[in-house]
Amino acid sequence: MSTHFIEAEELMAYFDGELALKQAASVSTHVAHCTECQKLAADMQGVSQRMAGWKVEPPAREMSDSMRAELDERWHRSMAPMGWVAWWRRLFCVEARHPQDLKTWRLRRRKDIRKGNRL
Amino acid sequence: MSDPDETLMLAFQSGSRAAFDELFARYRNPLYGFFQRRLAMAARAEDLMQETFLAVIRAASHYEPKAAFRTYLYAIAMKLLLAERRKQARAGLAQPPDLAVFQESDTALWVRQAIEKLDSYEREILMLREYEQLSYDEIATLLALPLNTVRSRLFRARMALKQLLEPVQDLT
Repeated sequence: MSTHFIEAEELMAYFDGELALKQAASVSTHVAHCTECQKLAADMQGVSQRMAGWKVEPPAREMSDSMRAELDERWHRSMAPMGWVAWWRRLFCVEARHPQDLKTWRLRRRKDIRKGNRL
Repeated sequence: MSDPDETLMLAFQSGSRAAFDELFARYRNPLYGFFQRRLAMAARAEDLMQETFLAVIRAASHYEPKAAFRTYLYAIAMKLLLAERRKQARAGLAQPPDLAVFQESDTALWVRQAIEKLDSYEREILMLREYEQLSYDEIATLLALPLNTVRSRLFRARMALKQLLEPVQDLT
């Protein structure tokens, strides 16, 4: 590989899809005609295929009880008073950012209430 | 098209249980594989997989999508793995391999034994690439290494493994 203008590591990065498009195009053109690079590519592909032979069975358990408990606790916490405070704070921030909308909404609401009273 | 992991994590942060269930379904098997290949103890691998998700739940409110979610997830898993190894070393545990785990095919046994002979850094990089399918950039972030170092070590690991696997290959 010493006289080769593409380094072996670069070639590996190309086959791993790790090169930028322009660089990948230039490597691709080269590989199409270079038997040395094709051999290296085949070697690396062979390693990947053999490694894939080490398979792992899926785990026996689904979600553990402690995880379910943690999720439930988190949900309850989000519904706790602090959660509501946060919710109101968020609402207030949205309103403060759009005071015009808030004014319109209040006016509309007042009209609706008056209409409702008349009915 | 399914939602990206980061979107799901943000949805979970806002209270969506379904988003967490989806993340769990996506990463349950890969995370279990991560621990099992590195510890070879099925029960412990399962515990650590669950602990990783527990850590995700507990830290959800602090989550910021700065990096890919899976980098974040494997960073937690890596910390737990290192802690487990330290614990085993302190206890002087040369843990006997769980034979149930090693009821594996000849190919798996052959590959596992060859991988064990690699330099520890190179082995980790190679496994993260081949089994966890992480990009070079993600591996670099996870192991706090420069990108070029990841690339050169990965190349060395692949070439070394090719050599280690060759003698058996000749017999087949």
